[in-house]
Amino acid sequence: MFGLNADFCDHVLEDEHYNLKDYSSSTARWCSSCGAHTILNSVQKLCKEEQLPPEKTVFVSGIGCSSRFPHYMKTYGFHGLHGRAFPVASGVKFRRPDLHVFVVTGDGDCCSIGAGHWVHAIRYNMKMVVLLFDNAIYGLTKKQTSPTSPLGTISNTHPTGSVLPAIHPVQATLGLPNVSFVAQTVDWKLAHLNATIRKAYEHPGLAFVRIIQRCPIFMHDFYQPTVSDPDAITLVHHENGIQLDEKGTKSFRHHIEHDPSDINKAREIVETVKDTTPIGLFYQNRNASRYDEYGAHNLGIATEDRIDAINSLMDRYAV
Amino acid sequence: MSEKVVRPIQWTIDPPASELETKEFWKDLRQYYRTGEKRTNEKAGRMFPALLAQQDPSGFSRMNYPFFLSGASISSFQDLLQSAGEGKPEKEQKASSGENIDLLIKELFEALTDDQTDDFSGSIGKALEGLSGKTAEEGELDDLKKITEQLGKNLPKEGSLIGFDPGVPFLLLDHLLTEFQSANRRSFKHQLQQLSSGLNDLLVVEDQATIGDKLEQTYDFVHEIIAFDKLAGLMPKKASADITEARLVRLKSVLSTLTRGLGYFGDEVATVLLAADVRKKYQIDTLCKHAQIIESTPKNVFQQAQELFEEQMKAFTELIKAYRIALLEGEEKYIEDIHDEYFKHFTWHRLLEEELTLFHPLLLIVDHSYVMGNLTSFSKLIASNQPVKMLVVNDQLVSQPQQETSWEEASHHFRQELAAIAISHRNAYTFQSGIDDPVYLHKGLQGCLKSTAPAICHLLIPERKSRVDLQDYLFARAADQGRYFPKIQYDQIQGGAWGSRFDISGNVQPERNWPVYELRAKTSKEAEATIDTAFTYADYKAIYSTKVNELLPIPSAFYTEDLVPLSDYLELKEGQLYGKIPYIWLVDEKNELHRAAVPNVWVVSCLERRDFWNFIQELGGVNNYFVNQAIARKEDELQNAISKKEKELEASHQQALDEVREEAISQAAERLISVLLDDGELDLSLFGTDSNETPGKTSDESDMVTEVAEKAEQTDVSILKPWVDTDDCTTCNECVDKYGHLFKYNDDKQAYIPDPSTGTYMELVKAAEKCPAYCIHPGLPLNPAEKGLEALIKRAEKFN
Repeated sequence: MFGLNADFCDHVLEDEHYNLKDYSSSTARWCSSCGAHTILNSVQKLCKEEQLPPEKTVFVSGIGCSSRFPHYMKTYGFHGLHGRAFPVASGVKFRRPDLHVFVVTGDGDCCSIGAGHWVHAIRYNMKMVVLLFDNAIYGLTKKQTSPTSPLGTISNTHPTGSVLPAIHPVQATLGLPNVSFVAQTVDWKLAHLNATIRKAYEHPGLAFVRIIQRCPIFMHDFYQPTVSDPDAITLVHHENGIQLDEKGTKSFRHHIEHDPSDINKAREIVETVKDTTPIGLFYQNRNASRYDEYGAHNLGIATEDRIDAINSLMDRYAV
Repeated sequence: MSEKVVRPIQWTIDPPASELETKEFWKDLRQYYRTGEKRTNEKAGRMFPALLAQQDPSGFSRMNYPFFLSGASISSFQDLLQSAGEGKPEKEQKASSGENIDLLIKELFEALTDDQTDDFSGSIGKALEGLSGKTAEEGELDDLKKITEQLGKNLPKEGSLIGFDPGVPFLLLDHLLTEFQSANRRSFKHQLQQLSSGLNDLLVVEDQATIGDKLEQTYDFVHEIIAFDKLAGLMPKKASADITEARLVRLKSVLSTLTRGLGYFGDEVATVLLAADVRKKYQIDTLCKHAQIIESTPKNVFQQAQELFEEQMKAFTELIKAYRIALLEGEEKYIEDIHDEYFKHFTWHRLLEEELTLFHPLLLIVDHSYVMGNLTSFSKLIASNQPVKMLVVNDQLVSQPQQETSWEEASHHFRQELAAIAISHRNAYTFQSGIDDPVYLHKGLQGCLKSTAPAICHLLIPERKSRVDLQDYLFARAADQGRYFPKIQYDQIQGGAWGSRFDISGNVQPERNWPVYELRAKTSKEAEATIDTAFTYADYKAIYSTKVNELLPIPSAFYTEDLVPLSDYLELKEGQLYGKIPYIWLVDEKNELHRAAVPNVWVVSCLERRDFWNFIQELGGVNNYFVNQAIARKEDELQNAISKKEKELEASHQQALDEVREEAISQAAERLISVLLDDGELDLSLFGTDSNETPGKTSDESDMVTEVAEKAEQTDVSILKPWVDTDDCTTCNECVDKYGHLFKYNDDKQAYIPDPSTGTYMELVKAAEKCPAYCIHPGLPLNPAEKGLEALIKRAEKFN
């Protein structure tokens, strides 16, 4: 009416400012005190600090508790097939290099059914952040052994305890070709979690972050000692690693200084430090080849030119 | 409201908020503008439009009540008081002006509300009593008393002072009905009486004459007893021996009609047809004392009115017909060949205007919503051109919340404008007004009664209640000011030209889109700000508590240039609207001034009201397209003439300049030659060369001194109180899910305890034990009466 459009101020203003609730969608339906809440908030904070436009941000997930993540972000999202978060995310990034792509996957999704895709995604090294929510159990299906469940874990599939040694996702990733960023953190050390996710976001390539995440319902006894014991964690730090402030650094009793460019040392730490959980940046190589740099070459081509190209192609088959 | 508000309006402006905070606030504000949804449900307390709270006798809150009604004349008390003061000493005049008059009127308002039947001197006495001690200067009260005494003397004895009341239109109507044509009616009644007695005489004599004939036929000696020749001289002229049977029948029927007709001019002067609910709502029985009141049947009221009118008009036409025949008969001018035919087809359309005005007005009082539901028959009634008077009562002060979709909630709807619909029939007298100005109302109702065409009075009348106060009056006035219910008068008999028929001059500041008043607010003890403030439709809506809550008061820390007054906002073009938020001025209960953001839905309804206002404005000759075009054309012509003149002047000026320059050059050349010939030194100053040196700029720029703010001394956090180390909170939802009454998230979605007293110590301890980040510190119990404290304190120890 009267030529006045109520939505006229929906145009993105130059000084448009996104706040936390601009990234929050529906109420997260994870159990109370689940570590996933913490990660969700941490990611939302990163989006706010970086002012990522919601329409330019994509969260891709597979199946599992963690994979509900895209529902709780007010951005684009893809809640995909079990184990197939990586191929979808790779496809998105390949065609739309302008988007910020995040992959949210779980220990079952990534290390079990999706392990094949995991290997190739690491090798493709497209710019994206991969958050592996590792709670060492299948939570969504009510407590079955996962590939990262420690030897002897009692679950519905192994009532007398699991019989195979667990996959170490960090160790495995460090063994893959063209790996460029591997970090590990825990959800209950908020400052470290935030700093790690930020570091991953800034990495020019695929940043693989394993987040050891509490499952307070099915793995309460497994995590509680680690959470409450100040000696249970070792901080892996370096001037090129995850940066914490003085207070943050001092809150850890055990420290290892490690240059993230040294992949052999990184493998050694993962292999040897067994009594405590090492967290920090294990390896980073900013110069690894990126497959996404080879995609989307025709993005700038005008529609008419594209039609011409298709027509000339089709003409070859004209009878 | 006005009594509570004693101190002037205050306006405090806080220092601006940080850039980030402002950005966040504005983002929410823009969302609020689009959706009307507020982020928080905090109630800011009752707010009013600022202009309503202002004590300003000459401006917005001018009182048109009480008024003095005597006979056919009506005057507002304020005008009467001013005219009584004329010619008096200056001191007395001063006492009866400005604030004092405002105060007196308010006291009088109260006095009249308490007792409407009080006589003039009694009410004034009460008001003056109430005023004692409130006047600005001592002795003013006495002067004021003198003026009011003078006024008492000036006023006619018959008449009364009437205060504000929703029943005023009916009161005025009743008064008008009794006054209306009363002199004419009396004289007509007198004429009828004379005519019928004359006719009666005639018929008696006629009968007697017949008796004489009969006697003669029966008794031939009768001549010897009665001298018929002599008798004939005594009888009215031509006690016609040649009277025909037809005439006799006619005269008898005329006489009986006239005799019956005398009863028509009794106490009742009108017929009022109305629905039961309207009758009860406005207590019409007590207000319309001189009318025959008929309750409408459930069937269509307009049809019923039409039938009633036809029935009553038929009887009235018979009466007039009898009257005219009687007149003709009296003058011996009744010619059967012509008049029989004429009177056979005599209908009310043949009535003269002055005869028609003697007809008892048929008044139909209906509710606005009823008319809107029965527009077809309403329109039919007007189109029939029967002079039925319709009083359409509208008590819809704002859109009622119970209505599912009002015209303004469905923001793309236009309001159905009854006055415009009525005017479109062309023949109907149309009047629209609220009850804020009794003088205007009186004039309009008078026009309605006088009109010999159908008449529609669309009146905005709040429901009658036991006690009215000043606020009710201000509300009524605001409806007019906010262009919610503009005053319109359309009287087709006023003349052929549209401009003479249509009038909107009863509105305040009719030339503007919205009336503008000065708003004064104290910004500090000494300083006062004066703000030109338009009273828009949004301001009008904001007087209702249910509506004002939809607005969002903006803390002064977030004022930016993008905040524009609503009246300015409405004038902006679409491209300029980008990013702007409109506001209106409100005051809270403490009389603090605030800017309140207006949501888009309100803006749209304001545009709708402005659109209607512009529509009638243009009809009323304000901002008329053709007039504006003519003015623009004339301006263009003038501008062209001016620029032509300017060019001519410039050319002649240039010519003069060139001549002077040439002369100067030749003079300089002559001097140069003479200097060179004399071999002297060149004095450049002779050639008038100015030095082009520019003085060196002195830079007084002082270095910016940045002061490092000292760290605020950290206050000791009492270890006794429970607290959350919010920075360490991992947002796991554990505490807020289980103990949501105790723990809340802040803007960063990290937990804190807003009020520890909302939960128990037990809950705090349990929450601390469950918290995976160990950031909840239960402190010591606040309530010593809680059970099992000792054990709990022990459990809490390791978290403190």
